[in-house]
Amino acid sequence: MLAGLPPPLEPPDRPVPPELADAVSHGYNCRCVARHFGLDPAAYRELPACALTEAEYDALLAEAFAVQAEAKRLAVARDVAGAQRAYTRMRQLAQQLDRVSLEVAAVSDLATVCYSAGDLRNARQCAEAVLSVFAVSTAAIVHFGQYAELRMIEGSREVAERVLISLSTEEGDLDKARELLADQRRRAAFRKAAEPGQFPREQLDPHGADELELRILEVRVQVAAGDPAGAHDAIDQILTELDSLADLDEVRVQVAALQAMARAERARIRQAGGEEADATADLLRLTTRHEGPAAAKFAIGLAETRALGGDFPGAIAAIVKARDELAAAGVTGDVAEASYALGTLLLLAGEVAQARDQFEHAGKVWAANGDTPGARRLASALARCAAAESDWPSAEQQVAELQAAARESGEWLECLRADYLSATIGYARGEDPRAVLDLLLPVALAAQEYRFAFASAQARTAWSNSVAGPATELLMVLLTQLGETRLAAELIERACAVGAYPEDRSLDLTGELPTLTAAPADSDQLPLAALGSVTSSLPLRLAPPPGLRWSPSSPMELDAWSRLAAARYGCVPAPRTVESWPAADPGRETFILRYADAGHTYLSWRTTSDLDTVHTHPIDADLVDTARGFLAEASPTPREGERVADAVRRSLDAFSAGEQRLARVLALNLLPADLVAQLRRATRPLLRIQPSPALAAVPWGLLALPDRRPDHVLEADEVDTCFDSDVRILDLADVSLLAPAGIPRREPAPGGPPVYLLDPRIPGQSAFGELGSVLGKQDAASPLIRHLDAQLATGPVRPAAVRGLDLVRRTDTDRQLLAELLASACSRLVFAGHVSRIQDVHGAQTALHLSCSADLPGTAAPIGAHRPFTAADLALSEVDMPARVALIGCASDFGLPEPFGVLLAAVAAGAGLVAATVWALPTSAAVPGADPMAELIIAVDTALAGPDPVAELCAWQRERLARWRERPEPARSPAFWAALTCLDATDDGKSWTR
Amino acid sequence: MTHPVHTPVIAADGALIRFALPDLLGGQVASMRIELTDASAAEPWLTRLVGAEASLTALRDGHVDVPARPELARLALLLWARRWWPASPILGIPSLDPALLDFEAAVATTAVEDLAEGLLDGFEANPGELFDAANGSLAAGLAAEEVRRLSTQLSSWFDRQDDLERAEAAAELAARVTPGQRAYALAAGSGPATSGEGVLAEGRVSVDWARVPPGVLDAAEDTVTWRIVATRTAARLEVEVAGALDDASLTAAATHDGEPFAEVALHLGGGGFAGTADLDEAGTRLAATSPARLGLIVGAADPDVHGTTPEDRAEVISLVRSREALPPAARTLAERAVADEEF
Repeated sequence: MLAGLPPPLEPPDRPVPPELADAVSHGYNCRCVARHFGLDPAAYRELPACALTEAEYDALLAEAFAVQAEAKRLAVARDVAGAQRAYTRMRQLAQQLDRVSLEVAAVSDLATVCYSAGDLRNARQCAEAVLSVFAVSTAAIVHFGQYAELRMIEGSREVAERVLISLSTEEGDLDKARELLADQRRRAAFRKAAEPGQFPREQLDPHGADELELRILEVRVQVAAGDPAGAHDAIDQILTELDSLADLDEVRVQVAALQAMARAERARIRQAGGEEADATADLLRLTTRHEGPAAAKFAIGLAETRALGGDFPGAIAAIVKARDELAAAGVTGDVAEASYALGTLLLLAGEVAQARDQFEHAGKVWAANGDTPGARRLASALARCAAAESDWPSAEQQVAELQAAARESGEWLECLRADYLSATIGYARGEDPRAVLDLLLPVALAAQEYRFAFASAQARTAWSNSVAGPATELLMVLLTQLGETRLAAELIERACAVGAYPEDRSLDLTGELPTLTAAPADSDQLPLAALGSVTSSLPLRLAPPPGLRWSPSSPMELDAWSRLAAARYGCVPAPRTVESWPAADPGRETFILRYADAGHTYLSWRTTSDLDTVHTHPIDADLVDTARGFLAEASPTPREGERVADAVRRSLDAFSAGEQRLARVLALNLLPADLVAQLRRATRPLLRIQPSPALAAVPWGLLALPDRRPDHVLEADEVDTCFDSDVRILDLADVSLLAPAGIPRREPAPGGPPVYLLDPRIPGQSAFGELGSVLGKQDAASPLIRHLDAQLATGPVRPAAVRGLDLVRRTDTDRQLLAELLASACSRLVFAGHVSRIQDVHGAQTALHLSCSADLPGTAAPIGAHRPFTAADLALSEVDMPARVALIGCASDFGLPEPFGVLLAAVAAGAGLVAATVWALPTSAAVPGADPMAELIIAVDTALAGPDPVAELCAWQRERLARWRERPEPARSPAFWAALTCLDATDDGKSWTR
Repeated sequence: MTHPVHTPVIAADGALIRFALPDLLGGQVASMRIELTDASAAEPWLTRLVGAEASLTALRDGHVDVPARPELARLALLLWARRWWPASPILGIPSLDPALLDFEAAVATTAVEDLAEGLLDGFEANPGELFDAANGSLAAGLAAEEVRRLSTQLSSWFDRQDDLERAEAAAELAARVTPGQRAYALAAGSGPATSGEGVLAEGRVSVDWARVPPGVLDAAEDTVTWRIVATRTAARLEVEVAGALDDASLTAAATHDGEPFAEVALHLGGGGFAGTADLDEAGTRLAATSPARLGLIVGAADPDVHGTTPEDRAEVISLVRSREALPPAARTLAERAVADEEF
């Protein structure tokens, strides 16, 4: 009689293959099997298991399974020591039963436990043991026909191989990891294709949870391969799919474990990419959903953010507590993480010696665990410690080791980080600045470039703030110190060239709702959240800056550096080249000013008459802040939480009380002396400006030209000492804005009648409400109506109308009519109405409020019966813009980290010149008895119809300025007219058309 | 269908006079129900109003259904509109000027007084008080003609009541009103919303009209967005309510399985009401562990408040919408004024 197992199919007396020589096993070739086949029992060995009765065997087997369940529970709770004890007991039971499959199950689980505890050495040993036993064991199973153990042993092999995938990933052997992943998938497919009943249900992955686990492992491979952007998208997708499985009883436990695994992974990816708040949210979810050591690991990450929030003692205490808990549970890898985190905080606090102790402790654990990436982190930490103590030889030795290890790993991001650290140490030491530059400039270029790999705007911005940002800030400081004017200017112009544009235009405004709108997964998914995902799924591309050409006689000096960055970090240089300068009218001096924010703000300026002489100026962040403060006080754009009426009143008061002061402070802080001097000398100059996000709302024409510079930082009431007169930029020059060179230009469309969209009625919105009339009730005698009547007298307009009054407050001016009106040739589009912006890092959801009802297609969530017309809708639709466009009510697109919005969408759709305002325009309702809004619309319409709109609008503003100087009353306030600026894309970027 | 939003009522002296909301809003009021609460108080005006036979029925049964009197129906409509008019720019239902509602209610109470003297003894407001409330804040020029006519009428009514001071004030109002223009939208750009970083839990809910004062928030559904976001030290509750019609002191409460666990004060700003509050550790834990069980209540979170349901609100909205088709005489002065001004 054979206890515990069915009899094997084959008798034990056949010759055995060599790998099974001398092997004896209960149920295969033991004495009970010989008896079963009627062979002489004496020739076969009796094993301890053979002596067990069926009942004894069953009891031990049941105990083994119970112990395994307990061990798994302990492992999930991350009580590693407890789990290891349980698995030891399970192995004893397996040996008593002489059951290899059971022992292999225990060892494969142990491999997982060791890996999760950071003990990579033992994890590898266990996993490899499983695989070697697996080979022998399957041979025995097949030879003796003892198939009862096959399924269990197969399952253990999969577990062990998954551990090997993770280990290969950690060690940088990504090819091996990918190969193992492919093996897993191949076998899973094979099992699924097998006949029903051949494999147990749990090995057929009925809900796809096993596949999701493989995908998480794949994400780790992506991260290790230096593709955090791809990993970012993939892990989000995985978590969404896991959420949809969470309620299935059959996989509940597995899915919960995978969710924890995926969230931890996502937190890591988010942290590395600078998305601190999102990483914290994941860590909070993880700590609150777990207890004991399982929560302790995540408490470390939370404590680090808490320290950044200012609670240093609390953070230290929290980490120490977590570390004690982890040490008691035997989770050595996490203990090392805790020490490393402590070291990081102590180093920040300037406690270098203590920090080093912590790092070295972590390093010892990593070394014992065979953790190779840990070795690199240790080198980096020790280098920073040495640098903090000005122990340069040691710092350089550590960083050199780090660089060597990074090069050996072949991971570009590791190399980049190592080189950046080396550059910062070199800079801090005061080493030869040229040598630092050689290291830093390619680092900054590659880091800037990688931003564009992220699909989500939020991730892109976080990356540029936390990864590319610091490198760029240091680089700009260094270039300034070195007097490297040209390189600094090229970097500024390169930053300014970035722009978003549609990859294809697929939104049919006249047709059905597009399928772009991500379907909300369930009812608690929100329109706003959905909006974000829509934005990231749109085929809108934030393009890396195109290759630029500096001047007709000179390419970019940066080109050589870009090639170096490509060689060092594998990024691809931009394929095409765009001219970085606008064409100039003969006899007219055109100034090109480009501002870029990088810690401080940097200005580069040159003139078209001498493109190769460039001036760059750092503008201290404090000066920029002061300028912004003055501007925020005067701008009618409502501040956060401010009511519109209050904002308008504040703005009118600020201009009444201190318009000249504003003009002077802005100029002193933003315009360098050499620029002012040359401006004063120039004849009829034209200023072409591309502001940085920090300076998006500056009304450039209003700025006053200083007569002298202060020798110290001025108090506000000392500002006037720098001025003898009140000469404004407008008094001397015309001003227009430059569009990012990276937005492709299109051929100008032929002329035709003007198209008017004036104060459209918005479905559901009263004339008096938030989205109400911007023009007020017009009648035949109103100035604007008289202007429109005069236009009608000279020729047709669109939409077709008999009277000027028929062109305002229309109910049919929606996106369909817009598309129809613009489908045939027209000379200009004049829109006056509401514009709003979803505060986002991306301007794709900046919206015009036309008369669109909610059932029209578009990417924005409706507001009641109305759907706003977004920049994304415009960019993705097949609407071609006329050569000249006025979007009155629009605030500038340049204030966002990614300059995009309706203005730039209009440029991408073919507009050459877009007149808009840099702040939200107050309507005439604020000044009863006057109509500055109508005056502005008339001026814009007239100028757009004329030969030189920029000159004409500047002349109009000059005349407004004279009126204001003559009598500074609210109806003449610059709040109504100074914000008007033309974005002129007609004279640059010509070489970049689609 | 017993929620007060569905049951317009006049609290008369000793009785409640009820109307069916669909009849009242549809401008076709056939009957009204008088429920006695204090027979001896009601008796003096009851017979005068409904005659001896119906009066006896009421005294016997405690209530009676009688043909509606237009004066009472008009007053009931105005009282209902003062509390429940679902103004909503989002849905295209205009705000009614509260001063015009008060003003017309003053006129309506005089008509009821003339109809059955004593019916409104102890009533929530008398013609004088309603007139006083309206007089200070009648929006310049709204429905000027009609306001002038009704002011003259009120003046002589006050005069008959020997309330000479108010008679003079009403006459003065009649002389003062001139047509004018209301302020329209102020700025051609409009405001921001917040970014979605570090979100632990979020949701979108509707305002329950019964929990907020009338005329303050847009009556549409799903106007409230809330989220709980991770901060460096714990978490923060952020609430935004779109569609503010007027300022008021408002709070919101975050709930877990319906139980409030955090409160936030809301302030009127550019994009509507908004507020943020830091959560304690327990609140943070709730947000991180069971986001699906969280909710938010805007206004009074008191469980004793008899709340409205989405169905209640949808029905009222649909009744109010259909009033656009009514002849001007069936609409209130405030409704006519809004319709005339719109462009």
